[in-house]
Amino acid sequence: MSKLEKVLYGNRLKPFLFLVGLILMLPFVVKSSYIFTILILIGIYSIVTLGLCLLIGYAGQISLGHAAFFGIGAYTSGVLTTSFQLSPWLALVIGMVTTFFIAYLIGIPILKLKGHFLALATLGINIIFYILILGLNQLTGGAAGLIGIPSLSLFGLPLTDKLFFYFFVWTAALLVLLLSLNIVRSHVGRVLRSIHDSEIATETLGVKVENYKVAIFALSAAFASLAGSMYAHYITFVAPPTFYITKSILFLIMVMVGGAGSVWGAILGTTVIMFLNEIIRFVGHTYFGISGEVEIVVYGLIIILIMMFLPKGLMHVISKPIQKLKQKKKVKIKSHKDMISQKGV
Amino acid sequence: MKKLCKSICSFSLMLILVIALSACNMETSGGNDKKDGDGGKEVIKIGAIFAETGPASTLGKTQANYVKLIQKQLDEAGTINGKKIEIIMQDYETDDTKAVIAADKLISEGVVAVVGATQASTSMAILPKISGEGIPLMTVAPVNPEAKDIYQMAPSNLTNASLIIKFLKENNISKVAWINARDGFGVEGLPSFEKVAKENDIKIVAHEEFDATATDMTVQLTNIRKKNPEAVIVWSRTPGAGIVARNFKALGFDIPMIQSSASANKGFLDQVKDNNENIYVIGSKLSVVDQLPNGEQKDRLKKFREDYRTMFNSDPDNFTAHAADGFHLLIEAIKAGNTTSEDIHNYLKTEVNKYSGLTGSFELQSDYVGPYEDGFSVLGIENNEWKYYE
Repeated sequence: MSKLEKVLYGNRLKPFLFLVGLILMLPFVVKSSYIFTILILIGIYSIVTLGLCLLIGYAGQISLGHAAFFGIGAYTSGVLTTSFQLSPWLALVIGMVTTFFIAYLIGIPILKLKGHFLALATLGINIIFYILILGLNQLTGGAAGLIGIPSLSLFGLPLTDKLFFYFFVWTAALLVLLLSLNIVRSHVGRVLRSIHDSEIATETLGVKVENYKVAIFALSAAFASLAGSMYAHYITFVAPPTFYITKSILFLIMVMVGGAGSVWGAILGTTVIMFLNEIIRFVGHTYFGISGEVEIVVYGLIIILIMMFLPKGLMHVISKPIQKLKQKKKVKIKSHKDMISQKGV
Repeated sequence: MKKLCKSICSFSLMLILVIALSACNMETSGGNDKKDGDGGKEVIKIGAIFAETGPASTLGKTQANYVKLIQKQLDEAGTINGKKIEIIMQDYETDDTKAVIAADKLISEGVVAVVGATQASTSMAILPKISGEGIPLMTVAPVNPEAKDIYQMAPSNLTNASLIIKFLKENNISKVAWINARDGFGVEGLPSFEKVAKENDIKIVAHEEFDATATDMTVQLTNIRKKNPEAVIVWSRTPGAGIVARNFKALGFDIPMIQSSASANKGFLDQVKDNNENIYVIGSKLSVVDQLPNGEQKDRLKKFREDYRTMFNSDPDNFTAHAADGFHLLIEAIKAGNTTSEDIHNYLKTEVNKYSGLTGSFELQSDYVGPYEDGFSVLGIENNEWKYYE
């Protein structure tokens, strides 16, 4: 059974331990608070893209509205902690639960749509949310934004220190990753994949497809909400433009660049996209003397090239050679065995 | 063939890794500089965070340009007390999250002070990070007057409001309509104006809002017309501000329209070209420097404009001047021998009092936020150029 699992899903322990090792090691190498902020944001965005990856890569449904769920989390945390003086932890949980139910209710009608129509419907959710946070200015501060969101603290230890927050965010991201990996391997994961391949075929097997689709949609929304709450407590300020469609598209790009077919792709894509912008800026400024608009053009061009030549994402590029190497090894062993048996004959 | 492919792949991966690492190391060494530097540093770094690109670039572009200009001037002037000043500019692409990353980058680089950000909401977003490190922040946008640890270079909304009230009183107007963009700048204007209007018995008979990226505001203006106001006040950045003005003319309004200081730029003049009587803007005197009475203020503004013109072949606006005031105050602090964030804070909070800026005179020790109204005036438009009224 374990062998079959390995063939089907690959090894999960080794890459997971590798990631844990990397996360533990990075603080020894990186000292600059700038890189730390990027690493923290990668952790936060990874939580969103992991959920999105389950929805897009496994269940085959698209969402262009995840910035709204990210925003619901951020604003729930923000409003509850500033206006109602609630504990940030309680606000975080309330945000997740609320988002789960909102997404569940929204999901029931809109997940009946398919393809472009679903994309447009989720886009609509994002726009409605954007208008709501602008309009409810008594509560959300409107366009001027919500200031004075407190930082998180854990067992009396304030997480204003970047190092603590870094570990906190990545612990949460790793838990979400572990959960996602388990979902993928469970029967739910198999149902999701079969929905991806053919909804009709899955339904003829007696599976209630809608239930699964709505549940995974709501779960990915809850992940986004968790990330949103963390974002709010890290930046300590939220304003509507952060939760506009452009952010949803950015999340989508992260998933697509990394490779929607694998949970690991989400983290890889998020990391690559977050660093790409900074590297272009750094290289562009230092070596080519370009600035502003030119950087954005280069950034766009790189994304277009990745989409054109690596439609399966970067994860595919990395995992393919490793798999080939393994296969070669197997073939070698096999041929060796064959030779021995032949000799025996 | 496959081997070639593989080697190319691995080579490019290695390359990316090396670049990323070198980038990391650059930052790390930047962070170390700060520690070394407290003893005796040769270079003093000042950070700048402006929206060189994105929607707010209509305001931020000239500010980013100004960084190049002042760096050139500083380099030509040589060292100050044996120390070189270096300005590190970060473009935040009109994105608050990127501004926070930029703020962290500047902190890592070891800057002693930061000028920015272009927008009010972004200034509030970076404030906790920057003031948390004890670094002075010179904002170039009108922020919430209750914000602490921030030095505001732009006139506050209250200053702007009292300028408008003065204009309304001179023209015997007592009923106005208010229309603003639904963005950070647009929504901050009304509360201050409401307060001053109430004190002066001016009634706001209509209030409309439009989306900051909208391209047609005739619906809102038609609603306003029903209420019969005697003037319309617009609080928005360009290009929205220009579109309101064009719609206003197309609908045949014959009452005055007064726009905020965010419209006092060349882009707005171009938008309302050839159809602009009865449109007024709260503008910096910088825009009408040739029409000013002779004096020290005129000379100062003229020199600023000419310097900018020679380098970029275009005119600076009041947003450029806000940024310039921020840098000049910091440079003055450094000239007075303050080379750490703490000393600069001290200098700005206790030592310097009166400062004649490009956008008005400051009194840093008073409770007044931003410059006084002497650098600003309600400007009209004549022959597609700004017109100054005494």
